[in-house]
Amino acid sequence: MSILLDSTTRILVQGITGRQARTHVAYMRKYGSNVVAGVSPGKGGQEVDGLPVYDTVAAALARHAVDISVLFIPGPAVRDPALEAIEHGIPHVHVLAEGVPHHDTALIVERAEAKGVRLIGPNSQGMISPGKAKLGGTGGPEPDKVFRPGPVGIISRSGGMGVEIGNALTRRGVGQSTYVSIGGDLLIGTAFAPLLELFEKDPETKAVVMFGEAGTGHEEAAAGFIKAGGFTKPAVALVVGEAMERLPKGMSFGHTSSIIERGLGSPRRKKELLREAGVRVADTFAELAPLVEAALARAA
Amino acid sequence: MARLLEHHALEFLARAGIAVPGFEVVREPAAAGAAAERFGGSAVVKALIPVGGRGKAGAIRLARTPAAAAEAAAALLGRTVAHFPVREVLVSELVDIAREIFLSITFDSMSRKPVVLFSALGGIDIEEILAKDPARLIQRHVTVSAGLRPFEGREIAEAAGFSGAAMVALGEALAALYRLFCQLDAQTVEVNPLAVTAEEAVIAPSAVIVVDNQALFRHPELAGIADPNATNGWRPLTPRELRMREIDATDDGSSIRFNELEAGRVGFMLTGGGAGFLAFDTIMRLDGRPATTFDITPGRVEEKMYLATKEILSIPGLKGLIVGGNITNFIPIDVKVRGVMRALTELRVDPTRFPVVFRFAGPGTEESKRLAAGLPGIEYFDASRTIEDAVARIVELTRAR
Repeated sequence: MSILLDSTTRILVQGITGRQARTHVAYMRKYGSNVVAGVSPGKGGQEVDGLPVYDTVAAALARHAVDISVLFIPGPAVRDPALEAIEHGIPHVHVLAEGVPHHDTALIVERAEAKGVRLIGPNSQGMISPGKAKLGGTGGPEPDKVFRPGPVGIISRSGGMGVEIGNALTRRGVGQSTYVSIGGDLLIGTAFAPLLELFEKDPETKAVVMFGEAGTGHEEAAAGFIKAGGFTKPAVALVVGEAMERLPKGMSFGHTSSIIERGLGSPRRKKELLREAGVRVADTFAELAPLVEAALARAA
Repeated sequence: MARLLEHHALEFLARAGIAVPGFEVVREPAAAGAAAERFGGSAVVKALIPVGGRGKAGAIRLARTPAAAAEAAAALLGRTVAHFPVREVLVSELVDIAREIFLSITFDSMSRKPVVLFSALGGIDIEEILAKDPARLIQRHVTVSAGLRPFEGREIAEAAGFSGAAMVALGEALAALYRLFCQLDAQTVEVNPLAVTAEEAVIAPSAVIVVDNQALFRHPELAGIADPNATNGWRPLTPRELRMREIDATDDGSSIRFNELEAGRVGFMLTGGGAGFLAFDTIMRLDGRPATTFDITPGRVEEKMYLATKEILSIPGLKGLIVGGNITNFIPIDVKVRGVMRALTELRVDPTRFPVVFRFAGPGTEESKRLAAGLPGIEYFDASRTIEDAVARIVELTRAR
């Protein structure tokens, strides 16, 4: 098994007629993802690689059952199409765009919660259940170079670092059940804890790796969730951004979440809390894969 | 995140229906005196700079006479406050404050909602409130689709101990400030202190507005007001940082984030949100002294990488260069490498004497290696080795130099 995504998951692609979407939808289908249709307002009736294109989500849903909608739409334009998918109750809405205005994200998150929709992103690179299916950019044209089926779940606030972790594990012969890129923005839909809950229930997942960063309280919440018994499998974490704490406050790096708010967000504190919750915390990237191997050996 | 200068913030508050004192921006001490005269003799004189911390830096001064106002302006103008040269001061009417309130509207990353932070312990910053009496900080989350309505503002004021006309006025003020927070796509609207006068009226003697850079595209009214180039977050941009912003502005097909660090020895160009952090943690742990941080989003990057590399290599005292980032899924890396190689070749860099480490992995690796081989001495790290390995190598290569 895996979480969120396998070869039977029915995927709708919003913004399907764009250049990026065409490229990635082709990669996704080649890998085994079950894309059923696309939406592009004003382009209804066209086809993309044999897939029907609709003007509205409503029209697509009249013809197709959909489990996930993935949005290949730039940040400034994402609010309306994300709300369209959410208001129609598609169970999982996946926003890849970066640069979504924070006021838009706050509204999208609020509506998703009200409708019981699982929102991943913004600023997610996508996800992959190796050997089964992939969504978004994750894995690119040759996912096998980095991701292989196996027992380890990965949750990462950085799309690039999720790939690095997959690569490090695969090179040591350790495969993955599902990797989810949750996004590096200040405001995101789904963070660590709800995904740990899904990995807990997935019999194929034997251990989970979390990649965290400075800013937000998501790692702190994950530690609380684990401590309370919500996740009982071995967990390994790497939290970066510690050196930033030694620099003057206010400096801007790549991710908009890297702001330390009232008492939350310090990587040092996140690591302490994760260790207290029994998580194996790597201090360097080199320590990560060996810690995962040790955790798997213990679990077996 | 762009912070508006205070007079712009006060103008937005006034337009939103919040009472603000009279204020003027002046560049000469005599003009400060004349402004104080118009305000009835006494005034507050503040350095007009785009960062906080002015109070602690002694850059907010109370003047009881026009002469004192001119003197305060003379003392501030031309001085450097919190790294910023003071070219203008804000002279504002003195407000008769009966009670001071701390008010901030911002986003909470955990609830993913706007939150109103309100305390009757005004005039001090939030860290001090939390240290002094955290129970007196009221936090109220706002439902985005409903907004903050006056009755909710009254509830907040009531919870903080206000009643009567002051409570009613605060309810209206909070609703108006929340509307402004939305209207400007603000990241933060903060008024500290928000003042209640002896007549139970509400007035904002000062204001901080920080707007979301990611939303500037839909705010033509903020052009020339919200200046992302005013600071790097805590100090003015260096000339090199300004030139890098110009390089960035040559093409909107990708975007650069760049910081120059003091006393650096290594040109540091490892990109990617998380990977950049990891690389930065690593070089700091190994005491490798980075001279820069650099990030570039995917897109049309070749020309920008060429220009950026040249700019970074112009930093005096550099002992080496590391360029690259995390393994990419689908973005061809040879495009970036081509830009970097053009810069290195044009500047006649000899990597056998000036160490250069590449960590480029992903589609285009073979072509990238072929390009890198064009200059002997470049050490190339691919996906078989980690970002940490590459950082450790440049630290080792530059340490003895």
